[in-house]
Amino acid sequence: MNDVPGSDVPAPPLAGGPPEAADPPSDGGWSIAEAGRDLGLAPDTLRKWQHRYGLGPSRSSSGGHRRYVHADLLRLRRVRDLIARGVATAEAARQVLQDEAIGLESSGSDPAVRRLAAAAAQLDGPSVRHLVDQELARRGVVDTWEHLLRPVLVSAGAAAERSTHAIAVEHVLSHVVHAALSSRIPPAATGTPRPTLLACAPDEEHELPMVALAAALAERGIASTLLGARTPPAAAASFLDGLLVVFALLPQDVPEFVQDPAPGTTIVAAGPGWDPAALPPRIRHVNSLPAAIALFDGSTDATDE
Amino acid sequence: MTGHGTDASPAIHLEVAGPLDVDVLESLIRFAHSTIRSGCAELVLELNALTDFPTRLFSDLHHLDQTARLHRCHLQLLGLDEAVATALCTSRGAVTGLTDRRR
Repeated sequence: MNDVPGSDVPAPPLAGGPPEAADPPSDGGWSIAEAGRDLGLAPDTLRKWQHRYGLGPSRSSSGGHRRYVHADLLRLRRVRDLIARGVATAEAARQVLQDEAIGLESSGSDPAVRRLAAAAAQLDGPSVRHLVDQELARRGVVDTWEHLLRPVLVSAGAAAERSTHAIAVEHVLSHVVHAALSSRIPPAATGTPRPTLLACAPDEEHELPMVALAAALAERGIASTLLGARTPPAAAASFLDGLLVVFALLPQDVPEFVQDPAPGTTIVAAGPGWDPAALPPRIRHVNSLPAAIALFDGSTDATDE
Repeated sequence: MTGHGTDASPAIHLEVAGPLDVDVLESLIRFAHSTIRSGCAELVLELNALTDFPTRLFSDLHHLDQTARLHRCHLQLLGLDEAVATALCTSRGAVTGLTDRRR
């Protein structure tokens, strides 16, 4: 263990325990021999995996030797475990690398989540669209949103903070999901008032959840008007005699039109950006698509939060 | 979509009427941004009788407004009140305060 860099770093128990039990090296990482011992793999196997599948170490020493960091070992461990479950090495490597690109864990995912994540990780917009359309038709908007789209979007959003490729993945995903959901919203019939307006808080850029709500309502035969991101207060305040859903993902001050709604207008504050304690008592707060839909279904599932 | 202006007068007038789908909106906003960045002193963006309402409209206009401020361009938006009133099926006078954002 004398090649573990950093004199103050205790020797990691690579040979005797899992990498998560080891103190991560403060500088440089572990040698290929140490990584191989921990994983139960020959150094030559690790070299082949690096050349064939891109499963190499993140660092190298000043002398050009491989140095595996904690994340490298976790990645290799996932590949090793998939192989142990009968997955071919190339497929295991592909799955793990794609999952990393979108921030998903390898195990326990819905197969549709895995397929969507894989297509998104490859920036394959047509395949993403095909999968989303397929699942929307099969499961309906609410189930698809809750169990497929939202988990993948959340993972992609988190991953986008760590890599530029993941930023592109998130853009492809959100763009295609927006288009797929929008295609399920019928255009407004000219001159026909719609009693439901879906808007976003004045400073809110995220509109996808409102697009999902509009699509879910359309699926139930409920027409709505969607004004989208950064709805100006003047536009929202001009809506009379109906239900106004105002979405906020990021923290927002309560705007005047929510504090003092127009006559005949019922307002629902949707999303985690609203502080329920700051909302007027008569304003209902929902924090999920099923809860929002329940308002229209008349069920008791719409929970104030 | 139409636009006109002269070299002598840097004021540019962009007008869009009828269908404003996401592709047209993207083209319009991209052109408006490049117009502002090219040194235009005044940009008038007029929306007439829109037959649809892209959800990114307000957000795109917000970012256009920020670009205009940064480049000291006088941006005017005309017709947005009517566009919203049409989308909401309210009377034209019901929506006010969205257009003609002057600085």
